[in-house]
Amino acid sequence: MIQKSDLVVRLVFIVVAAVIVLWTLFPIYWLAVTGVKTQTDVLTSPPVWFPKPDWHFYRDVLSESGISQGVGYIALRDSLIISMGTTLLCVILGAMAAYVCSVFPANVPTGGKSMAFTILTFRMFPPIVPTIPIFWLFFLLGLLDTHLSLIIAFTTFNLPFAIYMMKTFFDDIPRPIVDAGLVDGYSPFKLFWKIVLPLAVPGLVSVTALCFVFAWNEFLMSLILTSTAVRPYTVLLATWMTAMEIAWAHRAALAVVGIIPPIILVWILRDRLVRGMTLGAVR
Amino acid sequence: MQARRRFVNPVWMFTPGFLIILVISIVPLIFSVYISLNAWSLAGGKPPELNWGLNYVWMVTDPRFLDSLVRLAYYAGVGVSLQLILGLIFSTAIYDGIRSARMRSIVLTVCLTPMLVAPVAAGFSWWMMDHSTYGVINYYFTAVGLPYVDWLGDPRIALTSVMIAEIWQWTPFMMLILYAGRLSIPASLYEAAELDGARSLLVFRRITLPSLKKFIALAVLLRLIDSYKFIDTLFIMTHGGPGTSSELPTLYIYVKAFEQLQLGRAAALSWAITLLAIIAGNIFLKMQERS
Repeated sequence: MIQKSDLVVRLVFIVVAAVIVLWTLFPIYWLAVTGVKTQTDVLTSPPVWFPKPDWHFYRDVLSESGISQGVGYIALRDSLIISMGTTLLCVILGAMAAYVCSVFPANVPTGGKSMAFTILTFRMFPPIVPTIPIFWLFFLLGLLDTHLSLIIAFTTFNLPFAIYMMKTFFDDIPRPIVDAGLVDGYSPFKLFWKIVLPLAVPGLVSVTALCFVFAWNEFLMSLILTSTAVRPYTVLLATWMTAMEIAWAHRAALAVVGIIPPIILVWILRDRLVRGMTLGAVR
Repeated sequence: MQARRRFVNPVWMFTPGFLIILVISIVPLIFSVYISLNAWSLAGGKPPELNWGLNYVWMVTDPRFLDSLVRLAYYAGVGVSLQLILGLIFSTAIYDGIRSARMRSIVLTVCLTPMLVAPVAAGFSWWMMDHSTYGVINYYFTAVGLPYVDWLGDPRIALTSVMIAEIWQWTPFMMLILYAGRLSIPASLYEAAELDGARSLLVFRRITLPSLKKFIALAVLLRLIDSYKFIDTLFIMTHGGPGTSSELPTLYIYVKAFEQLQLGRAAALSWAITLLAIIAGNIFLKMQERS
């Protein structure tokens, strides 16, 4: 029954799919492979595709001491502290706020539905708009160049997202289950803790992962609000120099270490994350 | 039940998150409007001085800003179109080209990887590949007889090179939404077409594309919103150079505020692009409703 033209079309599709995978993976491969090259292999022509692996750049990036005195390690640690702080704040406060918006809309100013949407519009601002005043306010408060400054700044952007996303997950919980809890005389917090939250765990997990990834990958605010005491890895990645030269292999190794956490998270959670990445547009 | 709800008002659970958003979003935004109405340069050491709308008047006559807007139009228009076309090809190839569901899920997830990479890391990888002396792209270009291209050093090409990196990173996002859209098309439509013996391309044009319309609009809107915020990849790849030939508005605002230290003008510029984006977004949505 298969027509010849269909067979050709299918073949074309498969070739295209193979090209797509190659195109997708090559820049990542190139980062990874640059990190294991020796200094001479990095700057040579023709390019070296499969170098004899030399792990010392990776080791240098991951160790507390070493030729680069642990700047890579410290930057990754800073990123971790900031991302975890942001995620914790956003998930806890976000889940509670979203719960009230979803289950008790009448108790929220302007009603839960439009509230969640209004909150979301803050995400639409280009980050540079709030960053200019935040820079000045933090300067006045002496907060510049601290972990706390970035945790607060990232929360500006991630908390609205967390509230909006958590609300879509809470909205999916069948209303009779929630009402049954109310009839049993549960207090709002008990209802949240015992019934609503456990039912929304998959959603909670993916919001947590996305908040973490957003904070982990952020660059612009990190660049502006930090300088020497705190330096997230994205900033180091953009500015790392050694002896007047751009540190190719150091940066490549740091980039690879930096992209591993988001990739692991998403591989584990891939089926649940689609909704979050498309802001709830795709369920 | 109503009485019980009023008895313990759950609004306390909403308040902390709400207050934080209020304090760290709205206060800075109001402060930013105030800054934008001041002549304020950190370099001079002078205190801010109200000059009302002068920053906004200055902006309209600033060629560097106007040029960056033109570049943004090119960058967003061409970049998002290409992401859409490639995203359509990607999602179709994966959906129709791979029979085994397991394999499809794996390929799909692999193809999502670029959007998880920190934009700075992606930019760095493309910066290495585009490098004028050691870049892998130019090596193979010249090896197979194509002309040597100075990807990041040629003022006419630099912005396009950055755009290619951006396309690499965000086509997966288009693909993801279009793929999800494709999943939502009922299989019965295709079965009917198969019975009629319709050819693949015709099926694509008559069934797939029209059903995807809503999803295409959404993906394009989200990508457009992102492209006026765009800065990370640009920052690491060209920093707006050579000269200002690849400078987009957000980067210009960054330079104005944190390199030239003119906070007042930078704040005014940042509001200008926000308003432009809101207007553009509304026009887009109106057009969407009409069609």
